[in-house]
Amino acid sequence: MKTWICLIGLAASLGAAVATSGWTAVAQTRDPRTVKELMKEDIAPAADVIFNYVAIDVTLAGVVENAPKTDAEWAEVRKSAVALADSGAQLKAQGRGREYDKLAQEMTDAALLARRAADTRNVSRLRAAEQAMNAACENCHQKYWPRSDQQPNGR
Amino acid sequence: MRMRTTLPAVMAALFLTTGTAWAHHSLISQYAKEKTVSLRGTVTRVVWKNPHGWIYIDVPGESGQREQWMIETGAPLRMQRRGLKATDFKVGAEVIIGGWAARDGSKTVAGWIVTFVDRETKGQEASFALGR
Repeated sequence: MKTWICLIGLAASLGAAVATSGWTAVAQTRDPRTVKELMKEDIAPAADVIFNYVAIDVTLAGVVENAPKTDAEWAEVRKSAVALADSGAQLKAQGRGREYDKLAQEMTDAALLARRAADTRNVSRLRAAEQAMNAACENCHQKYWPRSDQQPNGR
Repeated sequence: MRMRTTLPAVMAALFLTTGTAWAHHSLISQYAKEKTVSLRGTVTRVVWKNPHGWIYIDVPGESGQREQWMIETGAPLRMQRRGLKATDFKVGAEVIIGGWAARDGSKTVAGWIVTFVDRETKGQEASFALGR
């Protein structure tokens, strides 16, 4: 019996380690795409799924605070959160320095909050995660923006 | 009545106060900063979401027909920090919105400031930065 408990415990620990290793460390395989391509193809679409699920809609019917409701909707949130967390690891794999890595990890951490919210079907947590995601977006965009898309102040 | 006025001073002041972080897409690639616009109309819908929200307003056109305009806002948190909430918007309320016109000529604006006409009439705080 003790052996079984030990084996189950070991398996659970290994599983947890494998599940998080891609997010807490740099991705093992570097994605050949540019940051702009990653943003356009992976990050923005994944973030939008989560942003849209918690949007507030003011119409003639009143103020509606949206939230995922069905299993399929929560699954979509979770899938997007995982994709976003993976993208953070991919950004770190670009090897642009510690500050860049910190910002990328911030996005991953926020995405993992969203994943946990999805796992527990917790709308409040999802809203908090969504705010953290947006903060991560803004923190990074204040520093980094494609040259072809220069901001008004020339940054 | 639709007004199209140049608001360089207001835009410059707001730009300085609203920060320079743009999420997802570039402001400059979509909107022309040299084409400032001021719209007066009634709110039909507001979508309060990240990374940018949307305000839909009906504006009387020059020949009297109703035109629907879409105003892109900044992130909700940025607007909240400047005292604006989703619940401040009521469908049917009259607003004046200043911003930059879309480069493609569509009825889309990057919103910088919203003024609630009824609040202004009552002498209450009426104008808020949209943070775009």
